[in-house]
Amino acid sequence: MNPFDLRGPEFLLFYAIVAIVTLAILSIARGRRETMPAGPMTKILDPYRVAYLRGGSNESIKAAMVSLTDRGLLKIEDGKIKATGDQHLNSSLERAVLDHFSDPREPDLSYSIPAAEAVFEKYENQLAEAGLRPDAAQKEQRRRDFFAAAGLLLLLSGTKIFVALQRGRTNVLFLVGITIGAVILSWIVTNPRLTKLGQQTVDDLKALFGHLRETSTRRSPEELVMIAAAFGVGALPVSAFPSGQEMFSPRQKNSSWTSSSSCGSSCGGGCGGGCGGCGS
Amino acid sequence: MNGGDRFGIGWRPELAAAIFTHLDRIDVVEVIADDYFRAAPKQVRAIRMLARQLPVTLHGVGLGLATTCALDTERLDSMARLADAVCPESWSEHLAFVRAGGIEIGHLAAPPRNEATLEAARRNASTAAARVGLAPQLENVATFFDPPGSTVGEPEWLQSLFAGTPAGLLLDLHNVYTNSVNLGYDAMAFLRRLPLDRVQLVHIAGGRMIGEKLLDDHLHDVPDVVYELLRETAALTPQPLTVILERDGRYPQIPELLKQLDWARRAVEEGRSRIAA
Repeated sequence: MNPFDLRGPEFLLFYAIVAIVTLAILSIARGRRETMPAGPMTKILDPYRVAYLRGGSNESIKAAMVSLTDRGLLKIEDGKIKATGDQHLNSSLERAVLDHFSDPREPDLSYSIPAAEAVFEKYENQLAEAGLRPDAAQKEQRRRDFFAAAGLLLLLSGTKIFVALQRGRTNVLFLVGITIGAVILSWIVTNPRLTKLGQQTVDDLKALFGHLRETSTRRSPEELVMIAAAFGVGALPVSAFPSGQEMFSPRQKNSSWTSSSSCGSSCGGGCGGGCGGCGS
Repeated sequence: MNGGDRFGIGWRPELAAAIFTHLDRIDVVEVIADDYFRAAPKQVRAIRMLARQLPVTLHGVGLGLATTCALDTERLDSMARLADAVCPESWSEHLAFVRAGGIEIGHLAAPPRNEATLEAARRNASTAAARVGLAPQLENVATFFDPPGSTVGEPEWLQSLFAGTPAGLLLDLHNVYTNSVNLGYDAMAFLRRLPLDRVQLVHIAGGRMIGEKLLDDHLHDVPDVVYELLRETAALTPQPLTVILERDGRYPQIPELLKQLDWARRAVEEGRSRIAA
């Protein structure tokens, strides 16, 4: 049977099956390659790195802001965030955050601090060495996977379109749309932000600290920053971190932020727009 | 200090975030194995992830390896499965008497120090090592009274036991101190009679007096006398030691626990300096 002789709907079904199988193979192959650690993971997962792993630099900055605010080194006053001290800093990220807010600034939904880029570059390298973020070789392999998959999908639909046009049929728009969708999906499947091991580690961290999201409102400083790191600032109970809404959801004062520590989002950071991503 | 000496803390949910936030000062954590025997796979996998972060040792609290009747195979299999899933660097259990005639007494009771329990403990340690694939570290237990039916003292019983098993001795120094108070002997002299060459793991903890008896409740700070015992242990043992601070409730802020770990470090360092001298 020549698939290019199939009628329109039948070919679309055939194409969809090929695309699904291709995506499944890509996902399984990547999962197998990226499960084993590329290097040691010894003690690299402090709260700020956990936040970075889960959601990137914005989440890491927010976790640092939670810790600094809880320690009285950062506060929100008259609608602006400002540094109020610089004692007992635990990391260069905290230093960069405090320097950033040495001049009072408006709160925002996401934060970017150029002076912290060197810190995040270090995080990135450590997490890649530990196999949690893709390293250069894995990125190259992902790129090859994508081009192979996209090449196959484009060749298949291109040939069919060519055959159809040769036979005087011009109703190929739907196939063009499906092809574009399949290629985009291939990119998404081959290029998630984390490796399989990295995503598994994020899931493990959420399991390890899941008890922190239970209803208790009293939280130690370490628990506060770990909730922000593992689940996002949206998971912080308002009773334990009253500045949260104003600091991280300034334009959504009536959001669900204040309801509880559990907002029903699987990523834990989706309340009031304070999530910034679930790490994928 | 011996370069291989390490200092850690018992992993408890209440301390988890604080431990993760202070990994620079914590070398190892001890996880209560029994808490994960019936846990969801994702919880076990999370402990495996923890074990990739820093060394983990599993601590069993229900097998009772000095029990003279047959071991609870279901519990032993659970420990084996957990060890297989988590890949800990070591695992430990108590030299306790926990069941007889099919009845669990729900307490880590000290066994009678006699030939029968000695033979049972050797056999159980061997069975456990074979099933788990790793020889256990065997922990001395605390008691309010000298177990009836004993024919030898605890040091002699432990000496005989460890002469006949490849297992290590998990030396609980607060248990040593507790027994010295409750049974009225000199803890330091007792310590020197133990098979210290087999010690790799050390527990330190605190307790409280109930009348004239000391209860090893793990709810209080480590008393000075336990640091003195730790100093002496370090002076008498050239091999690397892993010291675990046990705390099971009434948790103070983490700086307080880290301070106790620092004092343990200092005690070991001082003991090691005596070896060097």
